Amino acid sequence: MDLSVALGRLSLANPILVASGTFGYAKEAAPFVDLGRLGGIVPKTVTSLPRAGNRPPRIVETASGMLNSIGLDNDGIDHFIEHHVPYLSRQGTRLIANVAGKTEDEFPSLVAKLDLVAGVDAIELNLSCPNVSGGIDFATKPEVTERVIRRCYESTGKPILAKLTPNVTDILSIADAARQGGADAVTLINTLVGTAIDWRKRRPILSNVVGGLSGPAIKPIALRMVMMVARKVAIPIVGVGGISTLDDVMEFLIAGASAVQLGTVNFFDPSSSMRMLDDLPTAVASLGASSVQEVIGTLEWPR
Amino acid sequence: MVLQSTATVLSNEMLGETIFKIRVEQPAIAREILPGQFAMLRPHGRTDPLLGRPLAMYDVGRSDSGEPTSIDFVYLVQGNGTRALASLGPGDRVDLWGPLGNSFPRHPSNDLKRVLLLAGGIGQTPFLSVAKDLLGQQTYGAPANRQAGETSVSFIWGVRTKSLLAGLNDFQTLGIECHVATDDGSAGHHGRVTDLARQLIERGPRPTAIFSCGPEPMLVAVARLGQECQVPTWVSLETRMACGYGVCFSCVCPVKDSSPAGWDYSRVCLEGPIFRSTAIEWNEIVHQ
Ligand SMILES: Cc1cc2nc3c(=O)[nH]c(=O)nc-3n(C[C@H](O)[C@H](O)[C@H](O)COP(=O)(O)OP(=O)(O)OC[C@H]3O[C@@H](n4cnc5c(N)ncnc54)[C@H](O)[C@@H]3O)c2cc1C
Ligand SMILES: Cc1cc2nc3c(=O)[nH]c(=O)nc-3n(C[C@H](O)[C@H](O)[C@H](O)COP(=O)(O)O)c2cc1C
Repeated sequence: MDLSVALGRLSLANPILVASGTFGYAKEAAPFVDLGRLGGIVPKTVTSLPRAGNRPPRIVETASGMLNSIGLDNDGIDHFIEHHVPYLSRQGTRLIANVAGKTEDEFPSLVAKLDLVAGVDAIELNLSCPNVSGGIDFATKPEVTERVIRRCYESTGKPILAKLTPNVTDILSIADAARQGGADAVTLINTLVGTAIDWRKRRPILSNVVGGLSGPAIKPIALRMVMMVARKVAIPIVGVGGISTLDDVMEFLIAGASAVQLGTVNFFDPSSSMRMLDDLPTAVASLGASSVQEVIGTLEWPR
Repeated sequence: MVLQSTATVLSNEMLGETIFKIRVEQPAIAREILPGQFAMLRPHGRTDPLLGRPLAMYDVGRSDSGEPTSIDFVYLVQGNGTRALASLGPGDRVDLWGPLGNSFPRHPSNDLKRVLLLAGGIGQTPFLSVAKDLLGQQTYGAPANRQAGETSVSFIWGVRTKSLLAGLNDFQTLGIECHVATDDGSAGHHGRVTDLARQLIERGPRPTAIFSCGPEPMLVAVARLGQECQVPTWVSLETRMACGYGVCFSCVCPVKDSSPAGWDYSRVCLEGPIFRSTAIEWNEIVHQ
């Protein structure tokens, strides 16, 4: 069974990746996951300078999901390159670094820095983190999205993935802007903004008041966005949002995702990625296909 | 080795109104888990509640030949996750992963001649195995060539009311000094556990180490007590967690460092849950 897939210029041994912010810097997950078997690893978002992140509580559980407002807690790009890339890049899988800029200029400068780092195979742009108060969202206006991505594209020879927010009225125009800007693929979706309230105390539960909703609860929304973009925009898609079983993986592939990322499932079922990889060939074969590529985007639209 | 497993519930008995003891069959984790370490638990095959809950190892169950076979956890039903655990019975399955976190200091690394165990609320759970380990009454983890140190252990447990003292007998039968405090005076000392501890420390002999676990406001008082009495103090934090193994960055607490701010957030699941009380920047912790 041929499990390989391609995201523009980036080829992957298989379509199962792990999502930024839900897999730490991978070392923490090594007891549960044979890292070399993954299609790719997207470590936690890094920023230009270290950030302490938000005060706890940073998470709250919701019905089949959770809200988080971690607030991009990280030690900055230099520390990432020095301390995490050496480990990440020798795991025998693709390393897709994920960056977030505070300003439009910061994105290309982060990308240019990573361009020089051997072992980083591709760069994912976290264009909209819901947990940074005062943070600008670079993926809600098509012109801005396109401009930021183009500047990043021009700053590196490495493949670029644009991670988009679902908190928009028209995902198609944003995805098309990402395509025009030169992205190799779009990653759909980041978390949905929500909140939780302790009514007895009349207070929001999260210190940041709002957070990003993730987990099985958001899967139908992510699946729909992947399906819509796959039908209308000519760009490879990485599907993410609520995936927790191999059935979910297959649904995203059929809907049009060329690869998927596992997020919250890493928290509540740490070795799930390995079981999905065990079972993927059989599921693909059950459709009469001999490669993953054959099944991507084969959804039959009702007439 | 840290591992994830779907394991069978052997028993799940009610110890008190809202307190349960669950026994889970998992020899590989049982063989390795150390006093103070924890595992993440959730009912198998559901997504609501979604996340595992961190529970401290209460004790390890053994076969007739003494081989570790299972792990006991004692838990207080508070919300959705622990309520779901309480609904399980023998034969049901849980997902669990562990052993996680660090352990309390053990022989011979520290001066553990007289250890005071100070528990608040459901914070007694790590201390049964800690006491057995210190006293050499039971071995935990890989075969240890550790000389059972010369240790005397005393245990002080404070709760809101008497009915929450579920399993007190487990501690009394160890033959250690046990004291209790209740907020409502329904058993033992009427008042705060830290006030009772202060009285006992002042009466002497002074402990050479304090180990504490309980709600944060209590741990703040314990840290102060340790400092004032000049007794090295370790605290185990009960922070909210999502993953338990370091990938989510939600269970952070402020730990002093050499950065300009003087502290940075550390992950309690990886660097803790047990910290020297003097390592924590208590002023940064906001009580909810
Ligand atoms: C290392 C470690 C070991 C632990 N060992 C034990 C143990 O042996 N036995 C035991 O009973 N408990 C233990 N706890 C605490 C236990 O994990 C929590 O009580 C449990 O996760 C609560 O889950 P729940 O489903 O009952 O409540 P939830 O539904 O998750 O929450 C109930 C209520 O409490 C609030 N809440 C939840 N967690 C926290 C928190 N940390 N701080 C403040 N508010 C909170 C929620 O917002 C909600 O209002 C331990 C915690 C840690 C970190
Ligand atoms: C605790 C947490 C932290 C996250 N941190 C990041 C991050 O740093 N950068 C990023 O691009 N996405 C981040 N995400 C979003 C995930 O990568 C993913 O897009 C989202 O959670 C939806 O997928 P899921 O439902 O499978 O978790 C985070 C999600 C969670 C739950």
